[in-house]
Amino acid sequence: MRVITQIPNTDLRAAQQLAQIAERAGFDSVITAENAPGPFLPLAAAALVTERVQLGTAVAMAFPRSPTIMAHSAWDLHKASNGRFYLGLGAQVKAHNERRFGIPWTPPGPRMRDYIAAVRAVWHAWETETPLDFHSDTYNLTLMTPNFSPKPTGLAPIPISIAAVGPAMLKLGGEMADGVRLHPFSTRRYRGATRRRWPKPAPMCGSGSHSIARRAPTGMCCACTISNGSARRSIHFPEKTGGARWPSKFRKT
Amino acid sequence: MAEQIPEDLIDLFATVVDYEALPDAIAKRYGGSADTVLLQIGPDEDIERLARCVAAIQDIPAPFEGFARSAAAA
Repeated sequence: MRVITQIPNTDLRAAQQLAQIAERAGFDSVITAENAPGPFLPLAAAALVTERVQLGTAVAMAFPRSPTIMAHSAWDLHKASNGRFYLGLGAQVKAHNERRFGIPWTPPGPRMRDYIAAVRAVWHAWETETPLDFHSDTYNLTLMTPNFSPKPTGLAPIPISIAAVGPAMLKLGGEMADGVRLHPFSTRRYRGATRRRWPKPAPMCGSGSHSIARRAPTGMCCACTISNGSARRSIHFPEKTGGARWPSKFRKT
Repeated sequence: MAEQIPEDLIDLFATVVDYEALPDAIAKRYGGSADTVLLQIGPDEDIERLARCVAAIQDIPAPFEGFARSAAAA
Protein backbone atom coordinates (compact mmCIF):
# COMPACT_ATOMS: atom_id res chain seq x y z
CA MET A 1 0.00 0.00 0.00
CA ARG A 2 1.01 3.59 -0.50
CA VAL A 3 1.26 5.94 2.46
CA ILE A 4 0.55 9.63 2.03
CA THR A 5 0.06 12.61 4.30
CA GLN A 6 -1.49 16.02 4.02
CA ILE A 7 0.65 19.13 4.40
CA PRO A 8 -0.84 22.40 5.63
CA ASN A 9 -1.88 25.03 3.13
CA THR A 10 -2.11 27.80 5.69
CA ASP A 11 1.64 28.22 6.27
CA LEU A 12 4.18 27.69 3.50
CA ARG A 13 7.12 27.11 5.85
CA ALA A 14 5.12 24.57 7.84
CA ALA A 15 4.23 22.89 4.54
CA GLN A 16 7.92 22.65 3.68
CA GLN A 17 8.80 21.28 7.10
CA LEU A 18 6.15 18.57 7.01
CA ALA A 19 7.01 17.60 3.43
CA GLN A 20 10.63 17.11 4.48
CA ILE A 21 9.58 14.98 7.46
CA ALA A 22 7.37 12.89 5.18
CA GLU A 23 10.17 12.40 2.69
CA ARG A 24 12.65 11.36 5.39
CA ALA A 25 10.12 8.91 6.82
CA GLY A 26 9.58 7.28 3.41
CA PHE A 27 6.08 8.49 2.60
CA ASP A 28 5.03 8.00 -1.01
CA SER A 29 3.20 11.32 -1.42
CA VAL A 30 2.21 14.54 0.25
CA ILE A 31 -1.05 16.16 -0.69
CA THR A 32 -2.87 19.43 -0.18
CA ALA A 33 -6.53 20.18 0.23
CA GLU A 34 -8.48 23.03 -1.27
CA ASN A 35 -10.36 24.90 1.39
CA ALA A 36 -9.69 28.45 2.58
CA PRO A 37 -6.17 28.64 1.05
CA GLY A 38 -5.57 27.13 -2.37
CA PRO A 39 -3.87 23.78 -2.95
CA PHE A 40 -1.05 24.73 -5.34
CA LEU A 41 1.26 27.16 -3.55
CA PRO A 42 2.21 24.81 -0.66
CA LEU A 43 3.17 22.15 -3.18
CA ALA A 44 5.48 24.62 -4.94
CA ALA A 45 7.09 25.38 -1.60
CA ALA A 46 7.43 21.66 -0.87
CA ALA A 47 8.90 20.97 -4.31
CA LEU A 48 11.83 23.25 -3.55
CA VAL A 49 12.92 21.41 -0.40
CA THR A 50 12.28 17.77 -1.39
CA GLU A 51 13.72 15.47 -4.04
CA ARG A 52 11.78 12.20 -4.02
CA VAL A 53 8.34 12.43 -2.51
CA GLN A 54 5.39 12.80 -4.85
CA LEU A 55 3.34 16.00 -4.63
CA GLY A 56 -0.34 16.15 -5.40
CA THR A 57 -3.56 17.98 -4.95
CA ALA A 58 -6.01 15.85 -3.01
CA VAL A 59 -8.82 17.68 -4.71
CA ALA A 60 -8.48 20.88 -6.68
CA MET A 61 -11.83 22.28 -7.78
CA ALA A 62 -12.04 21.82 -11.51
CA PHE A 63 -14.93 23.77 -12.94
CA PRO A 64 -14.24 27.27 -11.55
CA ARG A 65 -10.87 27.14 -13.30
CA SER A 66 -10.73 26.87 -17.06
CA PRO A 67 -8.94 23.71 -18.25
CA THR A 68 -6.10 25.86 -19.57
CA ILE A 69 -5.63 27.62 -16.23
CA MET A 70 -5.56 24.23 -14.51
CA ALA A 71 -3.14 22.90 -17.12
CA HIS A 72 -0.76 25.80 -16.43
CA SER A 73 -0.78 25.30 -12.65
CA ALA A 74 -0.15 21.58 -12.94
CA TRP A 75 2.51 22.01 -15.63
CA ASP A 76 4.44 24.53 -13.54
CA LEU A 77 4.39 22.27 -10.48
CA HIS A 78 5.36 19.21 -12.50
CA LYS A 79 8.33 21.07 -13.94
CA ALA A 80 9.36 22.59 -10.59
CA SER A 81 9.33 19.16 -8.97
CA ASN A 82 11.06 17.40 -11.87
CA GLY A 83 8.05 15.26 -12.69
CA ARG A 84 6.73 14.51 -9.20
CA PHE A 85 3.33 16.19 -9.44
CA TYR A 86 -0.08 14.60 -9.86
CA LEU A 87 -3.33 16.46 -10.31
CA GLY A 88 -6.29 15.52 -8.15
CA LEU A 89 -9.51 17.06 -9.42
CA GLY A 90 -12.99 17.32 -7.99
CA ALA A 91 -16.34 18.67 -9.10
CA GLN A 92 -17.50 19.99 -5.72
CA VAL A 93 -21.26 20.30 -5.32
CA LYS A 94 -23.85 22.44 -7.04
CA ALA A 95 -24.15 25.08 -4.32
CA HIS A 96 -20.43 25.87 -4.25
CA ASN A 97 -20.17 26.08 -8.03
CA GLU A 98 -23.21 28.28 -8.38
CA ARG A 99 -23.20 30.40 -5.23
CA ARG A 100 -19.50 30.63 -4.28
CA PHE A 101 -18.01 30.78 -7.77
CA GLY A 102 -20.94 32.04 -9.80
CA ILE A 103 -20.75 29.46 -12.55
CA PRO A 104 -23.62 27.48 -14.05
CA TRP A 105 -24.13 23.92 -12.82
CA THR A 106 -24.33 21.18 -15.40
CA PRO A 107 -24.19 17.40 -14.91
CA PRO A 108 -20.71 16.91 -13.39
CA GLY A 109 -19.89 13.54 -14.95
CA PRO A 110 -20.01 14.60 -18.61
CA ARG A 111 -18.42 17.92 -17.74
CA MET A 112 -15.55 16.28 -15.87
CA ARG A 113 -15.02 13.92 -18.79
CA ASP A 114 -14.62 16.90 -21.12
CA TYR A 115 -12.52 18.76 -18.54
CA ILE A 116 -9.95 15.98 -18.16
CA ALA A 117 -9.69 15.52 -21.91
CA ALA A 118 -9.28 19.29 -22.37
CA VAL A 119 -6.50 19.56 -19.80
CA ARG A 120 -4.67 16.66 -21.42
CA ALA A 121 -5.15 18.21 -24.85
CA VAL A 122 -3.47 21.42 -23.65
CA TRP A 123 -0.57 19.47 -22.15
CA HIS A 124 -0.26 17.48 -25.38
CA ALA A 125 -0.10 20.66 -27.46
CA TRP A 126 2.64 22.05 -25.25
CA GLU A 127 4.69 18.87 -25.03
CA THR A 128 4.54 18.10 -28.75
CA GLU A 129 4.55 21.73 -29.91
CA THR A 130 1.52 21.06 -32.06
CA PRO A 131 -1.58 23.23 -32.56
CA LEU A 132 -4.29 23.04 -29.94
CA ASP A 133 -7.48 21.76 -31.51
CA PHE A 134 -9.80 20.31 -28.90
CA HIS A 135 -13.56 20.00 -29.20
CA SER A 136 -16.15 18.65 -26.80
CA ASP A 137 -19.68 19.43 -25.65
CA THR A 138 -18.35 21.62 -22.83
CA TYR A 139 -15.02 23.02 -23.99
CA ASN A 140 -13.62 24.03 -27.34
CA LEU A 141 -9.96 25.07 -27.33
CA THR A 142 -8.33 26.16 -30.58
CA LEU A 143 -5.86 28.92 -29.71
CA MET A 144 -2.43 28.46 -28.13
CA THR A 145 0.09 30.98 -29.37
CA PRO A 146 3.84 30.50 -28.80
CA ASN A 147 4.23 33.16 -26.12
CA PHE A 148 1.56 31.42 -24.03
CA SER A 149 3.00 27.93 -24.55
CA PRO A 150 5.52 26.52 -22.07
CA LYS A 151 8.43 24.66 -23.60
CA PRO A 152 8.29 20.84 -23.62
CA THR A 153 9.60 19.27 -20.42
CA GLY A 154 10.33 15.72 -21.56
CA LEU A 155 8.76 14.54 -18.32
CA ALA A 156 6.22 11.75 -17.98
CA PRO A 157 2.59 12.84 -18.38
CA ILE A 158 1.00 14.25 -15.27
CA PRO A 159 -1.31 11.66 -13.66
CA ILE A 160 -4.86 12.77 -12.93
CA SER A 161 -7.08 11.44 -10.18
CA ILE A 162 -10.66 12.44 -9.53
CA ALA A 163 -12.71 12.59 -6.38
CA ALA A 164 -15.62 10.19 -6.71
CA VAL A 165 -18.55 9.20 -4.54
CA GLY A 166 -21.36 8.06 -6.82
CA PRO A 167 -21.43 5.48 -9.63
CA ALA A 168 -21.13 7.98 -12.51
CA MET A 169 -17.92 9.57 -11.29
CA LEU A 170 -16.50 6.18 -10.27
CA LYS A 171 -17.15 4.90 -13.78
CA LEU A 172 -15.51 7.96 -15.26
CA GLY A 173 -12.51 7.41 -13.00
CA GLY A 174 -12.14 3.86 -14.23
CA GLU A 175 -12.37 4.98 -17.83
CA MET A 176 -10.29 8.14 -17.89
CA ALA A 177 -8.37 8.86 -14.72
CA ASP A 178 -5.20 7.41 -13.25
CA GLY A 179 -6.73 7.16 -9.81
CA VAL A 180 -9.88 7.74 -7.83
CA ARG A 181 -10.07 9.37 -4.45
CA LEU A 182 -12.99 8.12 -2.41
CA HIS A 183 -14.68 10.28 0.18
CA PRO A 184 -12.64 10.29 3.39
CA PHE A 185 -15.73 9.19 5.32
CA SER A 186 -15.78 5.71 3.93
CA THR A 187 -16.61 2.56 5.82
CA ARG A 188 -15.40 -0.88 4.84
CA ARG A 189 -18.93 -1.72 3.70
CA TYR A 190 -18.95 1.32 1.39
CA ARG A 191 -15.52 0.51 -0.03
CA GLY A 192 -16.58 -3.07 -0.68
CA ALA A 193 -19.66 -1.90 -2.54
CA THR A 194 -17.55 0.57 -4.50
CA ARG A 195 -15.12 -2.11 -5.59
CA ARG A 196 -17.95 -4.33 -6.82
CA ARG A 197 -19.25 -1.46 -8.96
CA TRP A 198 -15.84 -0.56 -10.29
CA PRO A 199 -15.48 -0.93 -14.06
CA LYS A 200 -12.35 -2.43 -15.46
CA PRO A 201 -9.91 0.27 -16.51
CA ALA A 202 -10.65 1.18 -20.10
CA PRO A 203 -8.38 2.59 -22.78
CA MET A 204 -8.25 6.30 -22.36
CA CYS A 205 -10.42 8.52 -24.49
CA GLY A 206 -8.54 11.18 -26.41
CA SER A 207 -4.80 11.38 -26.85
CA GLY A 208 -3.06 8.05 -27.01
CA SER A 209 0.11 9.36 -25.40
CA HIS A 210 -1.05 8.71 -21.85
CA SER A 211 -0.34 5.04 -21.31
CA ILE A 212 -0.75 5.58 -17.58
CA ALA A 213 -4.50 5.75 -18.16
CA ARG A 214 -4.59 1.96 -18.10
CA ARG A 215 -3.34 1.89 -14.56
CA ALA A 216 -5.81 0.58 -12.03
CA PRO A 217 -7.56 3.29 -10.07
CA THR A 218 -6.43 3.93 -6.55
CA GLY A 219 -8.59 4.15 -3.51
CA MET A 220 -8.32 6.05 -0.29
CA CYS A 221 -9.06 5.41 3.29
CA CYS A 222 -9.07 7.87 6.09
CA ALA A 223 -8.36 8.90 9.61
CA CYS A 224 -5.46 6.73 10.66
CA THR A 225 -4.32 8.40 13.83
CA ILE A 226 -2.81 7.69 17.20
CA SER A 227 -5.29 9.64 19.33
CA ASN A 228 -9.03 9.58 19.74
CA GLY A 229 -9.01 13.37 20.00
CA SER A 230 -7.43 13.68 16.59
CA ALA A 231 -9.96 11.26 15.14
CA ARG A 232 -12.81 13.18 16.73
CA ARG A 233 -11.56 16.43 15.22
CA SER A 234 -11.25 14.83 11.79
CA ILE A 235 -14.74 13.41 11.95
CA HIS A 236 -16.13 16.60 13.49
CA PHE A 237 -15.61 18.65 10.29
CA PRO A 238 -16.93 21.90 11.84
CA GLU A 239 -16.27 23.91 8.71
CA LYS A 240 -18.43 21.58 6.68
CA THR A 241 -21.26 21.06 9.09
CA GLY A 242 -21.53 24.75 9.86
CA GLY A 243 -22.07 24.01 13.52
CA ALA A 244 -24.77 21.43 12.90
CA ARG A 245 -25.19 18.58 15.35
CA TRP A 246 -24.77 14.92 14.65
CA PRO A 247 -28.02 13.06 14.09
CA SER A 248 -29.36 11.80 17.40
CA LYS A 249 -28.66 8.17 16.59
CA PHE A 250 -24.93 9.00 16.53
CA ARG A 251 -24.93 11.32 19.52
CA LYS A 252 -23.64 10.43 22.95
CA THR A 253 -26.38 9.99 25.47
CA MET B 1 -19.46 18.94 18.89
CA ALA B 2 -16.37 16.74 18.52
CA GLU B 3 -16.80 15.57 22.08
CA GLN B 4 -20.30 14.31 21.27
CA ILE B 5 -19.01 11.76 18.80
CA PRO B 6 -19.45 8.31 20.33
CA GLU B 7 -16.76 5.65 20.32
CA ASP B 8 -18.62 3.36 17.95
CA LEU B 9 -18.81 6.11 15.34
CA ILE B 10 -15.07 6.70 15.61
CA ASP B 11 -14.54 2.97 15.17
CA LEU B 12 -16.70 3.02 12.06
CA PHE B 13 -14.58 5.61 10.25
CA ALA B 14 -11.18 5.75 11.91
CA THR B 15 -8.28 3.60 12.97
CA VAL B 16 -6.85 4.78 16.29
CA VAL B 17 -3.78 2.91 17.52
CA ASP B 18 -0.13 3.72 18.11
CA TYR B 19 2.45 3.47 15.35
CA GLU B 20 3.66 0.00 16.28
CA ALA B 21 0.16 -1.46 15.98
CA LEU B 22 -0.93 0.62 12.99
CA PRO B 23 0.31 -1.60 10.11
CA ASP B 24 -1.57 -4.65 11.37
CA ALA B 25 -4.65 -2.55 12.06
CA ILE B 26 -4.59 -1.15 8.54
CA ALA B 27 -4.06 -4.55 6.98
CA LYS B 28 -7.02 -5.90 8.93
CA ARG B 29 -9.28 -2.96 8.24
CA TYR B 30 -8.34 -1.84 4.73
CA GLY B 31 -6.48 -4.75 3.19
CA GLY B 32 -8.20 -5.65 -0.06
CA SER B 33 -10.35 -2.55 -0.21
CA ALA B 34 -7.89 0.32 -0.68
CA ASP B 35 -4.36 0.81 -1.87
CA THR B 36 -3.51 4.15 -0.27
CA VAL B 37 -3.75 5.32 3.31
CA LEU B 38 -3.57 8.88 4.53
CA LEU B 39 -1.61 9.16 7.76
CA GLN B 40 -1.64 12.55 9.40
CA ILE B 41 1.65 13.55 11.01
CA GLY B 42 2.95 16.51 12.93
CA PRO B 43 6.19 18.50 13.15
CA ASP B 44 7.47 16.67 16.25
CA GLU B 45 7.46 13.12 14.94
CA ASP B 46 10.05 10.52 15.90
CA ILE B 47 11.27 10.03 12.34
CA GLU B 48 12.76 6.58 12.82
CA ARG B 49 9.65 5.26 14.55
CA LEU B 50 7.46 6.80 11.88
CA ALA B 51 9.64 5.39 9.10
CA ARG B 52 9.32 1.86 10.51
CA CYS B 53 5.56 2.25 10.55
CA VAL B 54 5.43 3.62 7.00
CA ALA B 55 7.63 0.83 5.66
CA ALA B 56 5.45 -1.82 7.31
CA ILE B 57 2.30 -0.31 5.78
CA GLN B 58 3.97 -0.20 2.39
CA ASP B 59 4.59 -3.93 2.67
CA ILE B 60 0.84 -4.61 2.81
CA PRO B 61 -0.13 -5.98 -0.62
CA ALA B 62 -2.19 -3.58 -2.74
CA PRO B 63 -5.39 -5.09 -4.05
CA PHE B 64 -5.65 -3.56 -7.50
CA GLU B 65 -4.20 -5.37 -10.47
CA GLY B 66 -1.30 -3.55 -12.03
CA PHE B 67 -0.80 -1.25 -9.08
CA ALA B 68 2.68 -0.45 -7.86
CA ARG B 69 3.78 1.87 -5.11
CA SER B 70 5.54 4.08 -7.60
CA ALA B 71 2.79 3.84 -10.18
CA ALA B 72 1.51 7.37 -10.01
CA ALA B 73 5.00 8.76 -10.38
CA ALA B 74 5.86 6.65 -13.42
